[in-house]
Amino acid sequence: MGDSKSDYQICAELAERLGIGEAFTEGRDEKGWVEYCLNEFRRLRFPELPTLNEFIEKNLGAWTRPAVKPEIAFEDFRRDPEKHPLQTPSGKIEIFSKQLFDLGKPEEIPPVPKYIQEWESPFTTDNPYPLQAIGHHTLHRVHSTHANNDWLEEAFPQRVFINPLDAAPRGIQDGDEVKVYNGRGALILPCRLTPRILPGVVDIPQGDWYEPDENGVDRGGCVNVLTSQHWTPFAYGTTQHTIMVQVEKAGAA
Amino acid sequence: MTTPYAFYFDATFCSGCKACQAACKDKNNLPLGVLWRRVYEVSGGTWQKNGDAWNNTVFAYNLSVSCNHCVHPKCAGVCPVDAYVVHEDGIVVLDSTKCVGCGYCAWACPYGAPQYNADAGHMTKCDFCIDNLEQGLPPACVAACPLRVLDYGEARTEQAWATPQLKLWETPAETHPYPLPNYSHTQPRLALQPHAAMNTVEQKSVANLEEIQPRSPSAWEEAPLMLFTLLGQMAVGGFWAMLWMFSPLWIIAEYGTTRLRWLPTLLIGFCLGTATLASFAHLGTKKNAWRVLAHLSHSWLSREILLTGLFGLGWLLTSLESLIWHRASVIGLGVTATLGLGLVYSMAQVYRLPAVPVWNTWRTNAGFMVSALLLGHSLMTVLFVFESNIIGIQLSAIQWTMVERGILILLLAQLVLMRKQISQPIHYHIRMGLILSGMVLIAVNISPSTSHALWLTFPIFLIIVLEEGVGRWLFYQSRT
Repeated sequence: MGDSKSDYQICAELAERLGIGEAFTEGRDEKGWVEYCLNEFRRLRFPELPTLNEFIEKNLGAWTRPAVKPEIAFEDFRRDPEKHPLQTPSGKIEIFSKQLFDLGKPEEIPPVPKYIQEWESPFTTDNPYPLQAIGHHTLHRVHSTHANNDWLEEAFPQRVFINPLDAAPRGIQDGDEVKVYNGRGALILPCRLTPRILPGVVDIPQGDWYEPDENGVDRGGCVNVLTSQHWTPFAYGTTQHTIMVQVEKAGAA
Repeated sequence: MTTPYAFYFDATFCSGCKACQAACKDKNNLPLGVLWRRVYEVSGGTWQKNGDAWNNTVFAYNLSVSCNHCVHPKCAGVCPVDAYVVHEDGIVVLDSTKCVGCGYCAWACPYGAPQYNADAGHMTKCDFCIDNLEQGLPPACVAACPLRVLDYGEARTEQAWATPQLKLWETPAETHPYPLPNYSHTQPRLALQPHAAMNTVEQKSVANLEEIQPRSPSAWEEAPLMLFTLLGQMAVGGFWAMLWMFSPLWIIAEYGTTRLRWLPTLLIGFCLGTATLASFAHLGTKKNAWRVLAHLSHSWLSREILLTGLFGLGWLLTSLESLIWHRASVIGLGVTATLGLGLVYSMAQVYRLPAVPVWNTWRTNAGFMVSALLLGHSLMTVLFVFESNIIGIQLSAIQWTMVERGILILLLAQLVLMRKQISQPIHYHIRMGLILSGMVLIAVNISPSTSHALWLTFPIFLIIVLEEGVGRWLFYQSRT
């Protein structure tokens, strides 16, 4: 648009001014990089991939690798497990993992695959926060990007999705402002009653921006006010879908 | 001959991403709240607990709808300024330079296609991206659909519509799938590949209705229309009441030049003038108001405005005749009264829209007529009672009971007409209470003794005005 520059051009010109222009661009512009990456794919993985010029000439857009025979997982291993061992200590499929056993945390990281009840769970007794909350990726945004795009807010307004079976005993009707809270935080949003969510679960689409009111209650619909800082035991990932909450009609005592 | 264009939508695979809606807004630069294309999110079904597990009968589907460029476009028919152009290829286009911004086409369309752009002050609608078509390109919504479930084609070519599907312009409206209305007779040019759940009897609802329904104006935004119909009807009813209450006195020489001659007609003129100003005030593009008689051949709105003007002219001529030459011609008064009848009838016809079933009944005509009689009658009664007291004419007991009984019967008629209005229970009960209290007041006042309290006519008038106001508010609310 006009004189505006792409992210790549901005970075390339900054690098130029820092005296490392050649090292950053390796002599390629944006189209040059696309061509380079495509050629690398052709060289290393998909020799039948069309060239960039063919893509442009035929207005291909997307290319699908033709399926010529049924795909079989671990085909070499299945044919000859001796010659083609798997990348495990035993070279076999390990139902019991000694590596996991040696970590010494069987409650959280069992050496055999089995269900572990989360630290917050609908299956514990006398839970003050009886509803599970998830934060699905809404079509409104890419994470938090485009949260401020009003056409997309119009198409996919931020709502707490709740099953009518959970709403009825709480006196909640479609469109009501509801307060979703747990020991960590609270947010207030209009709700949408829908049978498309399992009873016992509420959904606050992730990525919307934090807008606290004077009481510190979020009005922007940011599900992060409810999440914990608990890590997943093995990968140290975030646990943003392990949240228990309570929901009530906003304004109720 | 060119074959008409139609949109095609495959409901079986639509994911509800709304790229069509966003692409349309982008191409046409539409403000918030204006959605030429919108996606209905339909769902239904329930959950049953089965031990520790849940069973469900839940289903959901999406329906993307824009203007259907109908075979019989009601928007074009009702437009008072004749701003709609139906192209040879069936595309219905609104010429916004002619549009007066009255919003009437939005009421007439069963699909919510014409939408008001408040910033621009006129109506807007889908034009099938006619500029794209001229260049051989698809409409923006069709081009944007990532699942290729939205398409367009020439409605009657077999080749374009090879797969089995529902051609809505060939099927009776009663069988159109939810949430399309089942009362439309416009023959929408929309071809559908129906989702399996569309044909079930299970209860369905549109989850996102509040976002996609063209924002219906609040009762206060429709206040000018309420004012126009109420005051217009009061003027007509007042004219009728004036004829039988006051005109006999005009020929008596000693009253011929008193206020009894000019006050009633002045009051009627005030009502009519205010009504006209109110209806003018609600137009989005007032500079186009001069075009409003352009569609007398089809539009009841054009006819209503013409009759307002003719009744006003009749009022002016009879008033001048009466005030300047102290004469009243039976023909002039009779013609004006008849034009008033035509005005009240045309006012009702404006609301007899097939797209608004709750309005499209004889109750609208009857209700407007009763309103005219009630409002005009009670207004003139107040005037007559107070003025005649000053001048020293006493109503005879017989006259008095006639006046009061007349109002009582009209209130009763209003009660009967109300029977079906139960959508807004609180306001319904307020109105019911007002009518009943009006009846009680009249009942205690009706005794043909000399002691009837003349001042009671004023609170009775107020109650009737309030009751009619609430009634008219309910009437406008009942549309959605």
